Amino acid sequence: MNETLCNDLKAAREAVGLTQGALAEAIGVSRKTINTVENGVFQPSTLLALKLARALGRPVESLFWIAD
Amino acid sequence: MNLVEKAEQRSRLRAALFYALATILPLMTILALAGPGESTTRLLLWLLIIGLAALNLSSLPFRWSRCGPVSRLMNDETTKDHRRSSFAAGFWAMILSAATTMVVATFQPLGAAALGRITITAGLTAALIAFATLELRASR
Repeated sequence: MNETLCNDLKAAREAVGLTQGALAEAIGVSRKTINTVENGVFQPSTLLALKLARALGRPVESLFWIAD
Repeated sequence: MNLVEKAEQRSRLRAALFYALATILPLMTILALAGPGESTTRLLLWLLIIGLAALNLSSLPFRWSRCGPVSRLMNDETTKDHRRSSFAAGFWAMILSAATTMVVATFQPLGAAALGRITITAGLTAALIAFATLELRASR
């Protein structure tokens, strides 16, 4: 089975008017982490996914989901 | 300039430094193998460079020192993932270079020092290039 982790991070970030840099600073990671998560290059840890969800005011399952 | 921008700037500088080291290390190895003999000074310099390169590829300096906020950003989840990937690239480069050198050694005898030097150089160079490339690609 080839499972892929999809995300809605870019749209959610833009919806609250944050740049990649501002979101990165808010959760204490580098901008490249936000960039690679948005592009699906990097799969974040549970901790990072929860931090992102909290910073964007969204439930984590609405930001990340598995596409079968 | 905020913390994220500072960290990004330093990360780019680190990547450029790694590319420079990845150029210097093979050159030093070629010079040592092609030259008349190994001088102690050149060997010590090479050992110093490989030590510093290996140390910077690992996250050990970030564990030893009391890291500031910029240093923490330079060793976040993505960077650790890039370190793991670059170590894997270095491992395969070492295996490949060791196997190739052993085949070559059946035709052209090589000393243990030369074998070690070629293998370490190949592994470190591959790891340095892989890390720098992943870091710069992620910053785009």
